[in-house]
Amino acid sequence: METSDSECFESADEDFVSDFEDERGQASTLHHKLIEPELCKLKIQERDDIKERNDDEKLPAEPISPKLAEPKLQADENLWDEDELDWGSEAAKEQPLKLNESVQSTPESKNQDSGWDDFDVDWESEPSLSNQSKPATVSSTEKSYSNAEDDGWESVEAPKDTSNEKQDSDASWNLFGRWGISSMLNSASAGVSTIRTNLSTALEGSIGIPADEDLAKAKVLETSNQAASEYCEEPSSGFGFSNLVSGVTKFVESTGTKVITGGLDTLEAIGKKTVEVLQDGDPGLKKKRAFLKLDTMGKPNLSQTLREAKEQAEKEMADISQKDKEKRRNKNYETLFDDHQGLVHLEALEMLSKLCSIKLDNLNNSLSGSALKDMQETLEQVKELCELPEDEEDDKVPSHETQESLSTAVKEINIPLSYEKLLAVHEEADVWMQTADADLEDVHQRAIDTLAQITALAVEQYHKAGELKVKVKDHRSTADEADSLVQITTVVKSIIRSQAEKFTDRLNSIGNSSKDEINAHITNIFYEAGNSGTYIQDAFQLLIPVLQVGAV
Amino acid sequence: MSYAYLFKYIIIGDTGVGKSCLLLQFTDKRFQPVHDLTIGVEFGARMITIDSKQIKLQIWDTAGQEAFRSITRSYYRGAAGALLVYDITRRETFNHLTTWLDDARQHSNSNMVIMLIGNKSDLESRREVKQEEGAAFAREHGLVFMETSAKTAANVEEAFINTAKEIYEKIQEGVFDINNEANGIKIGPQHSPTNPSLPGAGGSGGSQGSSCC
Repeated sequence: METSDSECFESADEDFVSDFEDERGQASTLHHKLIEPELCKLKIQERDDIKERNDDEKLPAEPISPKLAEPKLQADENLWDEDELDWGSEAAKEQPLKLNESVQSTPESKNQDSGWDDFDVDWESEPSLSNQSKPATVSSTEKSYSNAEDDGWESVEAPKDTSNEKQDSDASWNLFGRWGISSMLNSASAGVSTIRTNLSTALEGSIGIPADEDLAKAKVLETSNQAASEYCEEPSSGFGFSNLVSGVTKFVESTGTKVITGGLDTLEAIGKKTVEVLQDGDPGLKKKRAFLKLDTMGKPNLSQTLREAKEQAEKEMADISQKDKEKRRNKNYETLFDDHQGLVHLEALEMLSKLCSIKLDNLNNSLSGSALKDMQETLEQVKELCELPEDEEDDKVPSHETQESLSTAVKEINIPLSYEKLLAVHEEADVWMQTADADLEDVHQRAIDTLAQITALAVEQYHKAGELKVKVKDHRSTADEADSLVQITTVVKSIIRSQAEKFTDRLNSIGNSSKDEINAHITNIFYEAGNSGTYIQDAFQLLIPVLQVGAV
Repeated sequence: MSYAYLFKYIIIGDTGVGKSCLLLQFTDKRFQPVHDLTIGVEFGARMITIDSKQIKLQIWDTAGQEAFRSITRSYYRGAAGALLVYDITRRETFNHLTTWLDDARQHSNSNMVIMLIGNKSDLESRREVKQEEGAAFAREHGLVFMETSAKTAANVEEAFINTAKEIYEKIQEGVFDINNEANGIKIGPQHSPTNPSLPGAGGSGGSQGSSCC
């Protein structure tokens, strides 16, 4: 639709281009009135940017072009600089593509952006521009421009096979689309209508757009038609039709200003609203920024990682279970760990650990000189006391001694911890293995569940130990506490290992299964046993700040 | 056990007002007249349904004892809802509400939904705090209010579920940013807006449900 309109504009455009100095002033004041200072800053940057490029390429339209291209650009910037001024200006200045990428995350804004994106790319991808005759140049750029409107920005390298006949109209359209007054009109009409369409669902009824918008649209159409009838008869060669200048001037003064005013108000309103829509349920655009990796996320903690792993696995399980009912009853390790409340205890332990770390930091900051040195030495000592012995197969605690060594360790720490439940689970599993008539899947599932439950119970006891340590101020000796916790950890890890071994032995005893299948299950059990050990160790590490607070 | 959302709750209030009993009644539908003192925090979980969506409530039942106060404060973070409980038969537990409320407001996110609960409503003869007083306090501080009995289960279900409804409404209004886990809301692993309710995802009560084998 615009093409036919703009075809009629062609000669006017050229004239207008060469004689536009007056309007420039006008348009400029208008802009400055309408736009907030920040926006002006941005504009200037953008203008300089474009101007530079134009200078390089010696385009005839050079002096006015940047200014006239602004309204549309501004609409895009507006979305961002409301909230993210620095970022917005950065992107607009240095990486036009990036700006578009980000805007693209808004629903359906792609088309309207891509044209402009393409436009940037065009200039860069046409190094021979200055050597070519003007119409040809223009037609090729136009081609890619219009392609972009249809297909997005992938069509940058569009073929240059436009016919001569079309070139002229292309030329004008191109100039209109980019540099001429119609870039305003274009953005006011096409821009508004596309943005409107794209956002209408979100905006409807709530935006409170002034009636100018409709007015502006109507005016654009009207003037377009007027211009069409007025200028269509003129030869399309282009330059120096001074009789048209006044017409264009008048046209700009009378309708253009209104269009600009209305158009810009509307765009501003839309921009503001868009930011609101973007921020809806996402204050500070946190999620979007995270998506764009603008915020460097903090290191995720263990419980979070586990939770994500669990969710991932559950998602996969859901997909499978749609097809395979049999699989549905099988839960993965992370889910079972959560079911046994291991995850939530771990999370709470992390919070407690953090509380103590903050206390230590505060203390650290309040001390100086030898007192600080003493404290740091103490902290280091506690840390050393909590070092676990290297994992070795032969320092495995014999299973008949586990109960005894656990209760000795618990007595030492002088905190009412209880490992009865953990030992009960361990024993139950042993009994189950000897009696149950189970197939491969059953044994595997039971193994994973037992490992998850033992780990969850162990984590729970670390959590309780931490809470009681923080609560009970009078403690005996940090060395004793650390020692007994190391002992507990060693025993629990050995329980995990022996449990895994028993389950794999049981798996090997199942005759009627393929060797590969058995091996796959065995590998998985050892893998989860390894994970269990790691979680237990990590939970124990979380206790170190708690012990340190007690020591200083 | 698939759910659309997970809400973290905390239960706070003086020792002995019945926090753990409320939780037990809600998750296991039973009452235990003698309860061990809670150490630090204990957990419970239950699945509920709101607006045909499965929501998992993960409840942090904190110790009421003063000695645990500094610990339990560190657990407020990331709670979407709080049940602030007092005992209608002990006025001092009502008098301490302001302290609890200040604590909660200071250590949690500002959007946290707080439900004020006057527990032990079955003990009418020993009542020391009138229902109107509770209601007035709630009005004054912008809380939701309810009297419950963990023993008879009166209003227990409602207290937990109404809190969840409030949170859910806040999500719908966009007050809660569900992607910020500091708000105490997690999106479930199978949450897909196009297919909200998966059939057969058993909304069983109780979290301690051991495995299926």
